[in-house]
Amino acid sequence: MNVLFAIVIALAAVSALGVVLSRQTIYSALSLVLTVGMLAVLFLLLDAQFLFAVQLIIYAGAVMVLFVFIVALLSPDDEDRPTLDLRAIIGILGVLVVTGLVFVAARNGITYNTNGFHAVAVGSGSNPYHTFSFPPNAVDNAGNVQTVAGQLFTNYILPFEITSMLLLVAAIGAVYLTRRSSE
Amino acid sequence: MSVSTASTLVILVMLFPLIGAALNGLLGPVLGRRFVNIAGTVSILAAFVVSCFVLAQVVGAPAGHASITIRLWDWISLGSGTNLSVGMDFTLDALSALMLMVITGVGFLIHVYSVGYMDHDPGFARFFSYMNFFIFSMLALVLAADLLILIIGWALVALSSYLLIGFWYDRPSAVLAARKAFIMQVIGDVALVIAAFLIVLHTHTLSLPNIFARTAAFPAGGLLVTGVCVLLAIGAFAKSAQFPLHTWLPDAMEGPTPVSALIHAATMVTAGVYLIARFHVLFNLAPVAEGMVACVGMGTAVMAGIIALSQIDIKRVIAYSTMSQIGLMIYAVGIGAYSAGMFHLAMHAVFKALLFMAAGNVIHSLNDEQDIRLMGGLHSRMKWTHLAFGAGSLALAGFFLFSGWFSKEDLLGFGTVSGPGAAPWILYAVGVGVNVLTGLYAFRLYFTVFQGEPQTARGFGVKEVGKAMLIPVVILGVLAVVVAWPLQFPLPNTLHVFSDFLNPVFAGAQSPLFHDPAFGLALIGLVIGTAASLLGIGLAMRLWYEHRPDPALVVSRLPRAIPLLSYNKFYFDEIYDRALVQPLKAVARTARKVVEPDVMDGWVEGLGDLMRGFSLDLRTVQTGLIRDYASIFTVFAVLFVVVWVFIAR
Amino acid sequence: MLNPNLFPYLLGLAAFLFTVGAMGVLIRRNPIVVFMCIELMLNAANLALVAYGRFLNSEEGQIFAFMVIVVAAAEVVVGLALITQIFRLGRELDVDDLSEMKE
Repeated sequence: MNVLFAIVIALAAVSALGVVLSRQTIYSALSLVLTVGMLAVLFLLLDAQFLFAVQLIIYAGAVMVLFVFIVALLSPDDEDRPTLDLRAIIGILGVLVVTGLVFVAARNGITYNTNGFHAVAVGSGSNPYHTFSFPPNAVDNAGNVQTVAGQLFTNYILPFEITSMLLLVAAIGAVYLTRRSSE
Repeated sequence: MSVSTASTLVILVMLFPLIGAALNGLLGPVLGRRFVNIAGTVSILAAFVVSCFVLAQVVGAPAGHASITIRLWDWISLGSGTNLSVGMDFTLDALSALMLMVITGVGFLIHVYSVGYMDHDPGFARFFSYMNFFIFSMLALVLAADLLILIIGWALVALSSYLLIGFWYDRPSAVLAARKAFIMQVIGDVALVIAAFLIVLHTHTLSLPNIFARTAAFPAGGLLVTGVCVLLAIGAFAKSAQFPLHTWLPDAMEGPTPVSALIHAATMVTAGVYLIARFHVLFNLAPVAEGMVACVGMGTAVMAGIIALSQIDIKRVIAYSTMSQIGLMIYAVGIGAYSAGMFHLAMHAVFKALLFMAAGNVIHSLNDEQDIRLMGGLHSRMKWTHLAFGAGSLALAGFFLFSGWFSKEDLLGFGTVSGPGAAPWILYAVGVGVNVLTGLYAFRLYFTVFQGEPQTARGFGVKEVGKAMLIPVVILGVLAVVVAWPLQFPLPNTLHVFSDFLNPVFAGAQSPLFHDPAFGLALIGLVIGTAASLLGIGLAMRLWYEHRPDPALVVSRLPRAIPLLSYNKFYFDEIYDRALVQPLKAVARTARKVVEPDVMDGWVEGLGDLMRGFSLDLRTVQTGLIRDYASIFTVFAVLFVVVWVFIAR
Repeated sequence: MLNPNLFPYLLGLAAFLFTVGAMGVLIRRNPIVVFMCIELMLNAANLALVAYGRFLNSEEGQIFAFMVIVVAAAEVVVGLALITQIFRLGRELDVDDLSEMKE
């Protein structure tokens, strides 16, 4: 299990770098497909089966196909090679620092509650991860389609409806934007 | 009368005119003149029928149950503490029933008359819509059992009046007159609203029955109740065109003649009398305010009578006579003779509406000529109008056994004894003088217009007006003679049907000024008053029977100042112009020339310049490059997190 | 069986993806790649949501991740429509070239 995690995390990180650093746009797109796929695997490992399916169908399927299609259609120049200027250096430093900080913080149980951020020793009584329980039925329930749907259509019905409106608006907007101006 | 009956009657009587107003206003222009004529008059007829039911209910109610207050629905309810609650409260009692009869009865006849009068006017639908709306507002005003509702009705009649005075909005004079009337009435509205504030402050209620039940909050004769009553009286003066807020009424004659008959003679202008009668409980506690009201009323009566003597516009003469007669009513309610004042109100509504409509006939026949110097000799050419106008003039002048005689002598009879010390005698003497004046100006008008010979070529060819305009005039002409006969005789202990009818309303409290005259005294007063009226009529006959070429001035032998003052309406418009309008304009001019450019513009534009400088500097940040925006956004997002996590804690 | 010790790694990965995406937005000039980087950032947020949801035993993280996916899809549709329109106008696909926002 841990080995699988390690491979998946490593692949996701590398392919993410590939998105940014690839010289050809099409490679960026393919790298993003890999990242998205790896995240889908992570979702599955985190017992989010429904999201796993959604991630694969919508992201890896619809969205990425759209990207690849646009790239193929427009065939943009590949002159856009990332250069190692000041902005890039700051960016790389930022990536390293933020990732490191988050990792260390999560590792050391720096957590946020109503009193603000505070660090707790790993394994101490107030360490939230220490008290995690993993009930046997979590695998069945937590990521289960019924559970998600139950929440989605009861407590979160309004946001759900609003997102559907958003999709409609986006569809109309896209049609409007890409129409040929009538002479 | 049960609550449900009363509710039904109240709803119906107010609903009919409102529906009429809506139908005429919304559908009238589409459906045409016939529809508007029918809808406009039938709605008021229906209201009149309902009013008759109300009257029957009030008359038929057992003693002590003739008054009922109903709440149609709660409107404003303020919870604990003040417990102020305002509902759609309406009262049916003798007073409101009387007003209902006057408003819908006279109102109906005037609507019928309007069918003929507005026959050729393109704005007929608008006209009838406004008229019906006025009736609705007036009904709300007189039925209201809550001060807030009353004020709403009070303001709505002012609005209707404004709309109707300015009905011919393409005439600048009409628009100005409408504006003037509205502004002057708003002065009264403000006084009324302040009075309402004072009342609610001390009684914690706006409901009229509750206010009158909680008079303990108002120490008798105290400053508070006097102030409230003076404010109420100012409201009444503005609405009833009493000194010093009277100058709008003559100008209001710019409106169509039916409007003058309905609003500026019969109903709205008498609302001030109604208001004081309705608030008699408070006025009885404030003798000082009552005395002020009586003096202002009598003063206005004299002043308006003098002015009426020299006006040359037929409608303005009648307008000033209205002002004078309302002055008498205000005087009557001022001395506590409430039912006498209301009696004169009702009689006046009949004969003054009649006079206006007859004058309208004359104006109509003479192609909108209003200058009485160009009239004359109409008696043989417009027989029916002439007869009706004559009856109205006799009633107005208080000729023996005409309706005006009963009511005017009735109220003057109380004037002989009501009040402290020599005051009643002085006021009574002035009242007798008003009688003479009334006879003079009423018959000056009558003789100049109807007797003698026509003064213009047009005058020889005039014909009588059509039936729609004649029938209401004739009906009112008959009424002006007979209506008072079964109601009241102006001597104590004789016929007193009318005062008995109103007695339940006013019996609860009596003004300290008020006294019943002894029979002998009243008889002497009656003889003197009648003689004074006859004297006025006789003088008028001597002066104007033969249509003198210049009837503008009364008597050339009088000191020159009096005719001059009369002709120029005591210079009130000029005084207001000099004392109020011009100084205000001067202040406004100064503000425009000095304050506005230097002070206001100075800092406003300075601020603008400052902002413009800032934004010109800040504009350089806007490169238009997405990546720059994203960078700035990221930097500040990171800063935000850092500050939030590490510093703000 | 899921090991609680994995949580820091998942969160670290989310942070890494997010910052890489942010960096990509800042340094790349091709608008299509910029869009992909934004997708990357959204996916990072999704990962954090799902991981937190899993480790706190709550399915609400998944709900929000679902919403984010929908929003991302909508955004991609409109964004790519804009890009095709820019391309159709004959403009070069370079975010530094598109500075009309200044006006």
